[in-house]
Amino acid sequence: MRTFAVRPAVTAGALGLAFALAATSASAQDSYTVEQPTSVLIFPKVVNDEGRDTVLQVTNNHNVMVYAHCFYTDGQTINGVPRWTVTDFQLNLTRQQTTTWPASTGRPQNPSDDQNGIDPGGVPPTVDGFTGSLVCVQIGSSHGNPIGGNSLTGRASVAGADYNAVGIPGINVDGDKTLMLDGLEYARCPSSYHLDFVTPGSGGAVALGSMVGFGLGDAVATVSTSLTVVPCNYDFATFFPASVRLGFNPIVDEFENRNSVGTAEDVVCWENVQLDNAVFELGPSTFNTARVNGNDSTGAAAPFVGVANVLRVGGTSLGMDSATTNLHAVTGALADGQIIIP
Amino acid sequence: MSSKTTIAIIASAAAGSLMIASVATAAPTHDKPAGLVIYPKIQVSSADGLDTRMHLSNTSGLPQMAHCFYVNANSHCTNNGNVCDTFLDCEDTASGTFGSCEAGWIETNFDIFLTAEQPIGWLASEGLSVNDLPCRATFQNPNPCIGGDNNGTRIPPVEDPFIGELKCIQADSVTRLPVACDGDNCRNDLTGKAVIMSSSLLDGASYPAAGLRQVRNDGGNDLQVGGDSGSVEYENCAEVLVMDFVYDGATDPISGTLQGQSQLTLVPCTQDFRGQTTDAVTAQFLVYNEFEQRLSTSRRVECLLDSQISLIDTSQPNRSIFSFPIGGTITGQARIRGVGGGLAGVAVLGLATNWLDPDNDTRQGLAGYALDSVVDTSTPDIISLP
Repeated sequence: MRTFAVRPAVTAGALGLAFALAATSASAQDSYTVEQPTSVLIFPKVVNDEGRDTVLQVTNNHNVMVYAHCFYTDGQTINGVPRWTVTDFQLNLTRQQTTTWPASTGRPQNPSDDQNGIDPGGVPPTVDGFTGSLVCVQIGSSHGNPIGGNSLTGRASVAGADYNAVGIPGINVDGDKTLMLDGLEYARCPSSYHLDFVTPGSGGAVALGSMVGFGLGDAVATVSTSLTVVPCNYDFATFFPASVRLGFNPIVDEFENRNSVGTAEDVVCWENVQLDNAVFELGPSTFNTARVNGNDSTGAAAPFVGVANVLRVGGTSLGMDSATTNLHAVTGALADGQIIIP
Repeated sequence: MSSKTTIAIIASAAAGSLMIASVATAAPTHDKPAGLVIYPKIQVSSADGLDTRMHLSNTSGLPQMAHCFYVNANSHCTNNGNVCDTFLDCEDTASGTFGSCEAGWIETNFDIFLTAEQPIGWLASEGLSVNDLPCRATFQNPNPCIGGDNNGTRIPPVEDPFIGELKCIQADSVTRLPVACDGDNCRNDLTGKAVIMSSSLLDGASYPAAGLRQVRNDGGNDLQVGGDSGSVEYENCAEVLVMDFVYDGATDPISGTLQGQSQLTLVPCTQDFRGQTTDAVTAQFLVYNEFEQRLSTSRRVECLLDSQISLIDTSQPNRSIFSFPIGGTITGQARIRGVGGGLAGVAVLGLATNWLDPDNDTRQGLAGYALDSVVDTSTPDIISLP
C-alpha cells in the first residue's frame, strides 16, 4: 500500500521535473533576443519629454501567474548634471495576460478607473523630461527572487515608432539578487552590432521615396539617424551607473568607402547618440553600414543594447516622422554583464 | 508493477522529455545576420502614395551573392489583367460584364552581388538598374571597389500596385544555390530592413527582415527549414507567432483621439519556387485581452495574408475579436499557430481618426514591428528553388 501510494506521486514528480527541465532546456539560449519570451526585458528607450510619450506593453506568454520586478532608470541630464534615478515597481500578470501603460501616466491600481483590463499592480508615472530605460526581471512570487521562467515579451511605441524589448533568456538561474549575464545563468549581451543607416542629411528620391512620382512636386525630406544605447550592466541596489565606450569601426557605404570613428561616445547609464558627426557623412552615398563596438575603460569588449531611430523631416508641407528598429548583433560578439537588484 | 519498471518508465519519460528539448528550437531572428532573409510585406501603390524602401547588407568581409525571389500576391482580373480585390474591380465598361478576380501568385527571381561589407538599398517601385549600381565594373573602370563589384545585379521594379514578399537566400554566384556547408563554416552574412513609406503624410513603418540562420547545407535545391536535427539546414520558422497589439478602435492613450487600426501580414515558410505552387497554411488565432479572456478564429494563408486585423475574422470590423468593442481593453496578445507549416509575419500599428473606414486617408503613426515567435515542434518547412 505504501509503495502504491507513493509511486504515483514520485512518478508525477519525476515527470514534472522532466518536463520542467525540458521547458528550461527548450528555451535556453546563449544570446539575447528580440523575438522570444525571456526572463529579463530591457526597453532601451523610454521618453516622456517635449510632447513625446511612450506606450509600453508587457505580456505573459505562459499559462501560469507571472511576476516581474521592474526598474525605470531616468537617464536625463539637468543643467549638465545627470539624474540617474531609479524607480521600481512590480507587475503581476495572470496567465497569458498582456498589459499596457503610457510612461507619462503609468497605471494606477484602480479597478474602477477607465483603463480596462486587470491592473497589473501600480505602475508609477515617469517625471516630465524622462529619457531613460526600463528593465523588468521575472521573479518567482510577489516580492520574490529572480527565476528563469522565460515568460515575458515586451513592445514599446515611442511617439508612434515601435520596437521590441530586448530579451535576456534565463538559462540556469540560481535565484539570488545578482543576475549574471554570462551565458550560464542568463544569456550574454552583444558587444558589437551592425547598424544600417542613411547618410545624415540626405534627401532625394531613394532616401525618402519618389515624392515626385506621388504628385507632391519636388518635395524632399532630410533623414537623420540616432542610436539609443544602454550598457548591459545595472546596479539597482547601489544605483551606480555603468558605462560603455562606443566605437564605430568600420563604416562602409554602398560605394565601399570606409571610415571609422574610434571613440565616438562614452555612454554612462543612457545616451542617445546622434550620427551627425562629419565622419558619418561620407559623400555621395545614401546607404551605410557601421560596426558599432562597445568597450570598457581597459579596451575589453563591453556589453550594451540599443535601438536605432530614424527621423525624417519634410518641412511644413509634409511634417516629420520617426521610426525605431532593433539592431542586428554581430555573430559571436558577446560579453558578460550583470544586473544587481535590491 | 515492480519498482524497477516504475523507475524505467520515469527514466524513459524524462529522457523523452529531454530529447524533445534537444531538438533545435532556435527561431527566426530579427537581431542577427542570417543565410536567408524574409521581408513579409512589400507594398507599392502610386495611387495611395505608398512605396517600400528595401535595405540589404552583407556583414562579412568577403563578397557575397543573394538569390532573391519576389512573390507578387496581387489578384488579377481574368478579362483585362488588371489588379483587383474583388470581381467588382473587373468590370468591362464596354460590354457591361465582369471578369472574375483570381489570386495569381507570381514569382520573380533575381540576383544581388554584394561587395565586402556593402549595404545596398532600392525602392521597390523602381528596382535597381545596371546603371545605378554603386560598384559597377566597366572596361574603363574594371575595379570600382576594393571588395568586388555589383555586376550581375539586376533588381526589377515591382508591379504598381503591389503587395507581396521578398525572400533572399545567400547563395553561390554560379549555381545560385546555397553552398554546401556544415556547422561553423556555414555563411550567415545577410541583414535586411524594409521601410513602408506613405507620402500622403510623411510617415513610415520600418521593420527588420526575419532571418533564418544556416546550420548545415547539402547544396541542393530543397532547403529544409527546421525539423529533425540531423537534416535541418536552416533554423526553424516560428510555429507560433506572438503579436502584442492594440485593439482596432481602441483610443490611443497618448493622443486621446486617434484610434488603433493595425495591419497584419503573414506568409508561409514553405514555398515551392521550382514548381510555382503554393501550400496553404491555416493560421489559428488565440486572442487574449487584458482580462485574460480568450477568443479564437482561423484564416487560411494561401500565399500571403495582408489584412486590417479587425477584418481577419469578419467583414464587420466592429464585431471582430480584434476590435475594441469586443476585446474591451486597449491591448491584447494574439498567438498565431500555423497548421500545416510555419509562418513569418510582420505587424504595422496605425492610428486613424475613423478606424471603421478601411480607406481612411488620415491613417498615421505607422509603426512596423517584428512578431515574437515560439518554436515547439520539429515539423520542417521546405523551400524549393529552381
